[in-house]
Amino acid sequence: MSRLEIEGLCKGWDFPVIDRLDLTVEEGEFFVIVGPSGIGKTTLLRLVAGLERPDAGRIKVGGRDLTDLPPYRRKVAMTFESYALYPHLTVFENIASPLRARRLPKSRITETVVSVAQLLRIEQLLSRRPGEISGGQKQRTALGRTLVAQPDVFLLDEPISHLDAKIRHELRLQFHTLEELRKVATLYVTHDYAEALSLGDRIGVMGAGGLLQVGTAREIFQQPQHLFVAQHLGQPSINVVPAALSSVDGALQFAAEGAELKLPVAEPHGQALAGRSSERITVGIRPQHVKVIRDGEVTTDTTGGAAVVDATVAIYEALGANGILVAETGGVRLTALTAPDAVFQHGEAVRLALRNDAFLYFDAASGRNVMVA
Amino acid sequence: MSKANYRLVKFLFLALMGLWLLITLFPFYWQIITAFKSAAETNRTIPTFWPEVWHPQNFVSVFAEASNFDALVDSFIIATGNTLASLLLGTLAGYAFARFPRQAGGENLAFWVLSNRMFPPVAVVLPMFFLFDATPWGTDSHLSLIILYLVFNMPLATWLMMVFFRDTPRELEEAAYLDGYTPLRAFFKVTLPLVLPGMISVAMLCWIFAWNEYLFANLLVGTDVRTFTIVIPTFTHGSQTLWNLQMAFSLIAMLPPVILFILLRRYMVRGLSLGVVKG
Amino acid sequence: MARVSLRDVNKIYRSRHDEVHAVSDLNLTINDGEFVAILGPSGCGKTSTLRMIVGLEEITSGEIYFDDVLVNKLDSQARNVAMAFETYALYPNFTVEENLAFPLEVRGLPQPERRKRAREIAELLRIDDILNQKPTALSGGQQQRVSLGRALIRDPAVFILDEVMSHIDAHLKFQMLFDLKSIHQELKKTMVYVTHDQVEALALADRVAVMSNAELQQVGSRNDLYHTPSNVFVADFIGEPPTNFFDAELFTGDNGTVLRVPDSDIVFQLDQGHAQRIARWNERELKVGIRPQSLHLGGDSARPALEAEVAINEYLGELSILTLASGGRSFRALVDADTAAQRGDRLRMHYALDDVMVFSAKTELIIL
Repeated sequence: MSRLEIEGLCKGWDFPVIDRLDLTVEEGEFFVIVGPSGIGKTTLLRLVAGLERPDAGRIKVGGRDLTDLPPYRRKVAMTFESYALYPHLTVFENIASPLRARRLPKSRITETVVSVAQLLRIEQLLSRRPGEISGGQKQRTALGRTLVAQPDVFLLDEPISHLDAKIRHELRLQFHTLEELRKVATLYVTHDYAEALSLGDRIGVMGAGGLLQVGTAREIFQQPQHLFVAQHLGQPSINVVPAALSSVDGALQFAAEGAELKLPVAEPHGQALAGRSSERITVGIRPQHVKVIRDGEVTTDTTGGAAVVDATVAIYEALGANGILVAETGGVRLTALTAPDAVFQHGEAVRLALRNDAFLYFDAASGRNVMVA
Repeated sequence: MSKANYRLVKFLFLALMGLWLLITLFPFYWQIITAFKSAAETNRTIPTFWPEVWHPQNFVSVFAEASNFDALVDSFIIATGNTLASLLLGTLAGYAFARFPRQAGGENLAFWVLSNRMFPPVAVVLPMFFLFDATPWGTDSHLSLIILYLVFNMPLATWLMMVFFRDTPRELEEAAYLDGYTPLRAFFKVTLPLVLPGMISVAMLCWIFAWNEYLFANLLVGTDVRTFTIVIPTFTHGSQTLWNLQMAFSLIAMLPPVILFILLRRYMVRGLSLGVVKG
Repeated sequence: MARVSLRDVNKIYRSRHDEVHAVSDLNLTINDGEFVAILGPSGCGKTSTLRMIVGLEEITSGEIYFDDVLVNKLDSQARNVAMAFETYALYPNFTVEENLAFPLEVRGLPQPERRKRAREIAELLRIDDILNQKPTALSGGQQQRVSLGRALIRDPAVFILDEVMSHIDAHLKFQMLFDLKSIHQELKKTMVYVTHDQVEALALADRVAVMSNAELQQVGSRNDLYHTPSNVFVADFIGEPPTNFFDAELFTGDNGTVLRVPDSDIVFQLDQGHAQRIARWNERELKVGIRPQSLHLGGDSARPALEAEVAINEYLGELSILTLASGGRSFRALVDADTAAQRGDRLRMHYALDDVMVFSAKTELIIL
């Protein structure tokens, strides 16, 4: 069993970067850490790899304490954000490097490298140097170098962030299907939430100091425990409306601060929010839960349970898979996702159907999700 | 700028460059023609700009005294020995400064090492003599000059190697650790090959300095060991300077560095631009 | 302000050993006040094109006109082109106002006039409240506005933006795209935006010029590029996730003429009129493209469908991407985020006949 266990890990320079972090990644689990740049994701990987010494805490793999071992004794493989391919060596020699380090016989090395290269579809590049291949091919070479090592733990640092969208899609599939990666404990770091949601068996969202929430893709996207988590996941970002709760005729509603927008609190949330009547609260509304209804269009029951408000179009952009519409309603700007082919004019009057049963409510002071105990 | 003006400026520029070329190449030309003249012709009151009679035998007669050839060998031993020592020490120190700046004393120490290079050597000529006189191998030996030249070459080597190491991403070494290489093996497998062009340029610079050095060689050695630089002034006949032999011998002494440079030119250019251009 | 026309423009870089054709017979007109993006992968010739418009690069052959003036021989100052770079290049020791006024100071305008113009432009860009701050105190978006302002204050005929957002965090990018577009809508300047990022290009520009391999592939609005791409390259390059392509052949059976993908169960239905049009091209080998967005789960069961097995269901929050496989072929479909389909499930993905794109496999040009 080669599960990765991290206990009470601390690391800081002038200020704490990682503060008492605990994490267990099971054997065969693909764990993705997502967070903004500069938050310490790479530092965590470097600590596990042994490239940095922790200030406190233990790192164990399969029950073996690695904390005081140098990187070359850890059986941990890592890809670097910069790929860190050896520029003076060919692709073949780069991939063969971990095998040569172990002084394996030549025939074994050739056999292993060629089979890994075939798996990654770079077998025709083996005699080239890193300077002569594309970014996607470099990434595959770096991946090949970690695969041949057959480590107990894989550490992947932003492996596909710097590649074109198309190659990203392709390599994402590769990470899904590579059984070598899915057999052992893998720690994958990215700032791209879509990558995290797509790949992670479980996902950890990293904020200042450590992990704010750990869970499956659906858990962290649909039930973020913290406003930070909600804001970091999603494109365009979640609408954040600072508001005040109040009870009108026994029905709970919230009013946006400094604006006229008032919306009822949906049934399922009423109970949790009841005790907070007349308190300040931060409401999170995902753009996909804002449906734009054209003037004249009938509100059908497909928007069931939605609160409908009048709005005017402020900005509209048709992007790849979606259109993004920013509309103003009662002094609040809300972003909505639309079908990609829709056309809206600036200043056009529309109505927004807000699925208030999918709203998220966060404590105004702490940012904690008040729906999650 | 109008076309006529442009042409004029271009012409002036080329004329200036031509003049500059003439001035810099003249000594070289003088050296070559003098090397082929007879002794009498070199001492004419009105100099000749082309040898009246070609005396290629000058190049043979400089070796009439067999020890003159030994001087070239001595110079070679000293220059090569010093280069190897400078490179070894400079590489190790440069690596330490680049990778462990805090533990190695930081930027200040690195700069102090370099600043040694700026010290006027004449000021320490006498102390150096007494210092080496007190050593078991004495002043008149290969070792004394090999060590003495470290004063000049090691700071240069250290500083340049530090710059080269800094430009080599640390992540490459770290990747090698994760591949399973110990730090020492990673250094030889990954880092050293990457700074090799730089090392070769450093070696060239050190070697040429040690090969050409005159002041300290003249002071410390001269009997058992003689470098070619202190042999050149010995080509005299009574009070008369044998310019032709001096020039012939110095031309011969110029060959090794020129050949080295041609052989290693590719690395030199790459190495010296390594620190300037990234990636 | 000006209209920019490029006529048969070529750029050839000659070195001692070889020639590189960087831009080949480019014809493009950017109308007065229009926002045009030049989009393409790296090395497609877009930067060379831009540099020729600006006047940083000689034009090997062809003509570039600003309105009716041939500018081939004019240097960039005489062309009155302003350019914004990816790095904001603001002077850190100057205030925002001084940064804005700097191009005027260089031209020797008197102090009061400079102040007045700087304030006007700041108001336009909504940065008039930070005029006395130093650039280091500003956010990325504000810095970009100052940088734009400094370029605009000279009142350039053409305004060029070169990959200005490629290193900006995705979260900030949307706001900046919106901002830039609204700035254009207010100023109505002729703007050319060069990028490799299709999201930026499609979001900002009135028209997008897609380049590849030194050649202009297509110029059009977002809808043109999406629905009637001129060739396989454009269909593949525009859109995310990438378009699904299949090698196919025309096959006439009992149910009329269809497009069959060899070695798989995938068959595309065709409208009879369309089938005739394809047949008229007389191409044996065809390439069929369909966008992941055009494949729908459920809906009207009478509509044609591709049947395949789910290989991967990628949940992405707002939506999910299904990777489906049939025979040795795989393709992607965009579906609702709450789709519970799992590996191994057999699904029918419906599509509209109009969403099927057909290309010649040989010339890669669009047929339908």
